[in-house]
Amino acid sequence: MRLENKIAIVTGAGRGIGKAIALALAKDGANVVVSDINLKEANQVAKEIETLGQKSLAIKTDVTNKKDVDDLIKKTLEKFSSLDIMVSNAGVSSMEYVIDMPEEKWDFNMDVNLKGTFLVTQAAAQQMIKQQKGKIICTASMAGKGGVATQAHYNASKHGVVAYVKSLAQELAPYGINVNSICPGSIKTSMQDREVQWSAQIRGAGATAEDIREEMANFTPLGRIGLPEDVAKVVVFLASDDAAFMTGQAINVTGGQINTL
Amino acid sequence: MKLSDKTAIVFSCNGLIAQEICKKLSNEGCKLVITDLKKEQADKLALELKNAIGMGVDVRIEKKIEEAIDVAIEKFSKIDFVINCSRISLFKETIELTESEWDTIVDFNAKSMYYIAKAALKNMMDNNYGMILGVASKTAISGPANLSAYSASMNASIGFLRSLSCEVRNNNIRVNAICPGYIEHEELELGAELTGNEPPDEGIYIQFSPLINIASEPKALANLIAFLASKEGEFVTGQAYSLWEDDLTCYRNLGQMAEL
Repeated sequence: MRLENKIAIVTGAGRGIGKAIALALAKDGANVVVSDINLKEANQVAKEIETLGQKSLAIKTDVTNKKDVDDLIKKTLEKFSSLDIMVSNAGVSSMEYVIDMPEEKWDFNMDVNLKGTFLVTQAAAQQMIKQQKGKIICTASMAGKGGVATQAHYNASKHGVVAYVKSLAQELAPYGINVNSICPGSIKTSMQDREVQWSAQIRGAGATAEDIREEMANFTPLGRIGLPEDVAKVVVFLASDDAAFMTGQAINVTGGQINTL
Repeated sequence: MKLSDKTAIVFSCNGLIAQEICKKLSNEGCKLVITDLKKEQADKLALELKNAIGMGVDVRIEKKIEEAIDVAIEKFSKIDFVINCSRISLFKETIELTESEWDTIVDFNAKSMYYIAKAALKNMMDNNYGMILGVASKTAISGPANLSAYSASMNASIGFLRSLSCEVRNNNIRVNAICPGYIEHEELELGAELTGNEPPDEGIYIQFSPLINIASEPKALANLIAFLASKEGEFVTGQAYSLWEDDLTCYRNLGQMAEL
């Protein structure tokens, strides 16, 4: 157990990649605070963690709201007294061509994915500096490195996360805090379910969500769509002392998929 | 003169890089609408150049950007190039950075790119021709300490432009970015002003610019942009260029970085 008695927070942990990360951290010995905007889903994941024999706590958080984020840290410290691992994972996506993109869609993607990362990691860093140690891991995306049509706002937000993490890593290195990001490729989540449906609609000509999914698998050298657990394993590695000498990196978990689509 | 039948709008001309870009485009015969947050700054530069008009535009306000695009179309009948030089920076530890400072920096640097591209695209699509160019920064790649919001905003711009290049490739519109190797005085000063901070001291500027020949880089960047705008550059899209490569972490062609 690499993470025995470590205290972790995972945002956006109610489902998808965040849920897999929360469970994987718990399986490796961490006590995990499950943060999500959907408290019902967070509660379910917290229960699963408890059945694994670890302690957990479900907290409703809107990562774009500083008060919510401060509250998340406060409640975590009240229950567990320290914070060793912060996984800033909450994220959203939508699909629009720039020419038709309403400003609200830009704001939604940038606020949750980029500003949310700033607020969550800043609050975590304030505690970790006191402890003179900690691990911060941010979920970016393959879209943090390449570009794809209909997701210019999402790509902007994820590129932002990749660069932000590099800067933050430089700042927190003197305190013994590692900061890295992960860049998942095509991963089977509810976000992807929505995206393949949108893609099929945008493409038209009778294309189905299944066609898009098959295409994604074909674009992936390892020949399959990734699973949330594939990503979670890399996060556990980054949270562990095995990755003690890594900081400021953006790790691809893409099955070999090239990022310049 | 490579650009004698062309029209460009340059947003936010407060810094030396933007000014060199305007001069170079003008020397190549391009007609110009030059904007800045401070109208007198734009007017002053426009007066020095041929076929140029100045406008005051706050790039945080979509309507102002749309008005500038409309003026350019009215005056010169079309837009061939839009160049966004909007950059503000604030040298501050992330742990001390306020939400309002974050918003100001990200909106001015990155959201402006979205507003500007969206406003210009309609005319460019009608003409089946155009180039959208963002002036980003090497910090988008290197991620220096105490510039996290700036780095995030600059890489956000690049991410946005990369995607946009995929969307408009069939409309004969090129989308590129350049990554200057240093932080300009003017962007630090304007960043301090817009976030309500004290003006930065000289030391910060020098710290980020020790290896760069500042006398020649803005001119070299302007030359690159003139090339990208010209017929010779018409097959170049989706790229982000740095001119200085003295250090693998700092100076890279982002086009090559995408795989890393």
